[in-house]
Parts: sequence; C-alpha cells; structure tokens
Amino acid sequence: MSDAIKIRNLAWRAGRDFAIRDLAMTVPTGAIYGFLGPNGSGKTTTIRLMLGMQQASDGSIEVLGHSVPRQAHKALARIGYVPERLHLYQGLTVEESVRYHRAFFPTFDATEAERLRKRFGLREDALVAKLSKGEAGKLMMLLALSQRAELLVLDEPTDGLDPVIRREVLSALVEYVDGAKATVFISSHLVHEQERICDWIGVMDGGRLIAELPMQEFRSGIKRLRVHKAPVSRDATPFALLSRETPTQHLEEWVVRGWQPEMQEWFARVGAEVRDVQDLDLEESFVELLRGSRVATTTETR
Amino acid sequence: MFRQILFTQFRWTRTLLLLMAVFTFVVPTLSWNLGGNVFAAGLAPIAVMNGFSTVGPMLVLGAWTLGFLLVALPWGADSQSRHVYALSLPIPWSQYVAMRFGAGAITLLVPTLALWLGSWLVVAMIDMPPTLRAYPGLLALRFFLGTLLAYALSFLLQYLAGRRAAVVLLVLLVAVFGLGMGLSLANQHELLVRITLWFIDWPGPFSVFASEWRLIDV
Repeated sequence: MSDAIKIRNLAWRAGRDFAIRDLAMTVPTGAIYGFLGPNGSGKTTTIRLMLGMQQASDGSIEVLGHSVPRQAHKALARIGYVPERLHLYQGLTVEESVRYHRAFFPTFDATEAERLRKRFGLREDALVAKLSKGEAGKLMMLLALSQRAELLVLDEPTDGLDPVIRREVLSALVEYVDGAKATVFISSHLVHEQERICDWIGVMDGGRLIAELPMQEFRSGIKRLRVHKAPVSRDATPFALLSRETPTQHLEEWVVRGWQPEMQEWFARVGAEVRDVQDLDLEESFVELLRGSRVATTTETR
Repeated sequence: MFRQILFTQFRWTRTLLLLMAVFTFVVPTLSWNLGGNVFAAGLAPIAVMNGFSTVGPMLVLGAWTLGFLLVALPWGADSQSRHVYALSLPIPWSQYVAMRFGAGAITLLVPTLALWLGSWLVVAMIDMPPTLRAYPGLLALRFFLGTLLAYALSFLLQYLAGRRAAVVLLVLLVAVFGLGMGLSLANQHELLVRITLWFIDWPGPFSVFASEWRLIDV
C-alpha cells in the first residue's frame, strides 16, 4: 500500500526561537493519523509545509503522490483542509461560501453539502462573520467533507467547540471516512479525542517528531513499573526509559516504552524486582512521552 | 471559478463602486455648474469647458483613490486569514492573483460607464456649435485607463510587498522626492525635466494623467 503523506528530512526555521529539524513522517493510505503535540510544538507549521503554504528550507514532501510545493495545487484538489482558525470570507453567507468553494473543487458534491448543512443546522443566509465558533467549525467541516476528498487534513478541528458540537463534527467525519475510505490527518492536543478515532499516532514536540507508531502499540507499549532495588545505572535497558522517580526509599517508579513481559528477566539479572506493571491511558502516555523526550533533549544539549 | 472570484470582488467593493459611480455620473453635471451661472448661461458648452478645469483634477484624484481601494479591500479580506483560504485552493498562486487582478479590472467598468452616461447626458442637452466637439467616450476611456494604471500599480505593490506595502510605498516616495531634490540641488534641472517628461509625456507611463481632462474640445 502506498503512503498518503511522506515527509523526509524536513527543515524549517522561524527566527532564532523555533525550528523544525530533520522531520520524517509517513502516513499510510487509509489511516486515521492523529498528530499530537502541545501548543507551539510545530503541528500547524508542519501542516502548512505539507500543503505548500510555506516553503521548507530542506527536505522532501510528497502528498498523494505529488511533490510539494511544486505540485501543491494538484495535491490540494484531492485534499479537504480544515485550518485551526476560520479562513473563510466573513462577508459571504453560508450559501455563498459553499458556492465559492464548489467552483474550485471538481469533485465537490453539492447534494452532500446540502445534506450536511441541514444536519449541522446552518442557515443558508447566515453571514459567516455572524456564525458562532461552533457553527464556523461545522461550516469548514461541511466544505471539506463535501469535496469528497481522498485526504482530509484537519488542524485542531474541534478546538474550542462544546462537547455536543464536537461529537456531531466527529461523527460526520467518521461516517465520511467509513464511506469514502479516505485518509485522515488530524492534528490536536485533545488526546482522548484522538484515542477514540485514530489508528496511527505521531507525537510532535519542539519541532521534532518524537514518536510515530500504530495506536495499538502506543496504547499498550508505555507502562509504569514499580521497581524494588532499582539499579543506579540506566544503561543497556531492553526498553526505552522515559522517566524514573523515587516516591519511597526502596521503590522506584519507572515509565518505560516498548515494554514486553519477558523483560522482567532483565531486572532479575541486575538484582531488581518488578513489583507492579501499570497500563497508562493515552493522555498519561502522551505526557510521559513528552517528559522523556524533553529530559533526553536536555541531556543531549549539556 | 473566475465568476466566483468576480462575485467576491464585487461583494467586497460594491459600496465603493456605487459611490464612485454616483461621483463619476455627477461630475459632468458638476462641471457645468462650476463653469458659470447655469441659469444665466443656459446650456452653454463654455460652462462645461470651464468647469472641467476644476472637475478634471477631481476625476484624476478619484481614479487614484478607486484604483488603490479596489486592491486594498480584497487584499484585506484575504489577509484576515493570512491568505490561508486562497493558498489552500487547488490553483497556482499566480493564477489566483491573475484572476483577482482581472476581476478588479472588470469592476472598473462600473464607474467608467457611469462617467460615460453622465457625460453623454450633459452633451445631449448642450446645443453644440460646429467649432466644438464633445468626447464622452474618450473621456470615459481615459478615466478607465487612468484608474487601471493606478489599480495595476497598487496591485503590484500590494501583492509583491504584502504587509510591507505601506513601508515600500513610503520608501518609493522618499526615493522619488530625494532624487528630485538631489537633482535640483546639483543644478541638474534639465535632467530633472527630462526624467519628468519621460514619465508624463506620451507614451510615458503616466501620460494618461497629464494635460487637462476635457469633455468638450475643439
């Protein structure tokens, strides 16, 4: 199966404070790829680079087989994009916005747009400028879904929406993906939302992709271990040690990635004992992953 | 596609276009009023000729204002979202810019037609002597070309310089003023005149604005 998005060695810099360094990312065709990361981690910039809205200083981007930015317009014809902020023209009505959008996308399905408009409860004659945040979010999603796109790129599509509207928007998205077998690239910092719908996860922090793996692996691979008589050295562990804390004198808490039950033997070899293995939920896993990555970065830079 | 771009262009600038259409329609009548006592002079072509020495510069000013605003308003609508919408459309940026330019240029026809209509009405009411001739079509064409030039320059500046357009314009004005001052101080008056004439004499780029804009001439 080919990849819907393939990014290699991507580099981009904004002044002295922020840079995307050596970014490599692969989004398999048909996947629902959750792009996680704290605010300011570079998610939106990566999306803009991916869509040819900004120019990378190095690296290559291929979206739906088109090289970006050179063939960005060809890729964009097959992409439904929902940016993090309202990008539509404020002076147009809902109906005019649909008509405007439709003119540019040959695959746009006007019947589907009308069905979604009714489902989302958007008035045809409502001015975009007068729409609430939730309504604006629904309109952007309506336009993206009505394009019958092969790839949906959604940048924080439910950020700031109330739970009812968020559920409505997400269920429309899931329905579409089920029917059209489209690839979805969804950026968010709402971890639980990603957990419900995604089958791949990429985690971004400080302009770097610190993890990219199937959701199942992400969910089950990060554990909290209670270790008795833990070794001082952290070298040569068969797993990635994300963090270690000492809540009591003889017991340490380790958060590890890539854990397998047979790895208990390693502890026995170094004279330690694993007393308890706890599953972390996605949010905890995400936080621990970020913590581990930041500790590693700090150690590297020293 | 272009129809929709044209639609948005008209949507954003319709108030401006309406005001300019009223202005250009009224200007020929105004010239007649300004050129003498309309009640005493009756429908005298001389009143229109005199009046145009006042309203001609108003038309020039109107052309520049219209040209500038016809770029600024759509640019403002696009830059509200930092051009994200325009950049996410599946057409090359150059094509989008060309269509925006074309749409704006087409809307210039609205005040141009109003000027032609206003001029034609005034001319229709004048008893024209055989020595004079009225040029409502040429006046409208001149207005169109002048507005188009102002629009094109504003468009070029805005789309090349982006958010720095105001700064670039200021730098350009300072450079032109500085050049003029420098040549004057260096007693290079002849060179200064030659450069100025190159711009405003036919076929110079600003020749459309040079000399008086007249509705009636010999």
